[in-house]
Amino acid sequence: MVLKEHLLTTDYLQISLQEAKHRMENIRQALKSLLKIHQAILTKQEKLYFERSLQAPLRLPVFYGLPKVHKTPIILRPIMSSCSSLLSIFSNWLDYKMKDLLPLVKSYLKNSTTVINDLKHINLPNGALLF
Amino acid sequence: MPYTILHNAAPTIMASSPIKYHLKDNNLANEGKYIKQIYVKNNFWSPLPALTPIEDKLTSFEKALKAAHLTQSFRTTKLNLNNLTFPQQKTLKLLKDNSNLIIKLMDKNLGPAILETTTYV
Repeated sequence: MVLKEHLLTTDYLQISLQEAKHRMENIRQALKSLLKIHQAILTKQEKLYFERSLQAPLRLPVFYGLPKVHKTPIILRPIMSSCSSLLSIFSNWLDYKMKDLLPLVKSYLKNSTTVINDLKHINLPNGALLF
Repeated sequence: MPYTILHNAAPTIMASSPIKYHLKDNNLANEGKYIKQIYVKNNFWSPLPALTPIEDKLTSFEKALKAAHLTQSFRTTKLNLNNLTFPQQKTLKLLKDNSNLIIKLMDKNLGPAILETTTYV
């Protein structure tokens, strides 16, 4: 199932381990040069984060599947585990930075308590329905 | 508690006190610059030892903890505390060692599943 349904399809391309490592090294160099260019806008904590994360041993992302036994026929849920990979360092930082932008989204809701409090301040006519 | 867990946890417990004193002595305890999401531990730094009486207490606590655990594990190793019977353990090992079968976790956290390797691959 892993090969037929996922890895041996047009969505994926098989490359050698050496080539994978070579590509990762290229990405690492590209990202490092980006960091160097933009280091002036990074905070002290962010600089430390990148410095320490890039020193730690990294691993290549791993593909595996979780069988869905409640479906007939049994299929797999594809998982791409990127823990401790190079890209996870940057995606984690991106997630951290983007949290600041989240309240700017009009549909953003912090939690259910905020919704309840907001609803309390809305004046609705009798019999009105909310969807 | 398995000895390995205790063995791995002991240094963390022992290190936490010197770190606390280091932060307090250097007025770093309330700096508020700690951001959990982007915090990465510095593995190349270790705090200076705390004051001698504190270090002594910590060492004696560690010794007592290890001794107590050793005594307890010595008492229980003679008893078969496994919740599986011997045939069950043997069968599980056979399944695990069989290269024609693969054991994977299921989707929706439904537990482990055993599949034929050819089906999975």
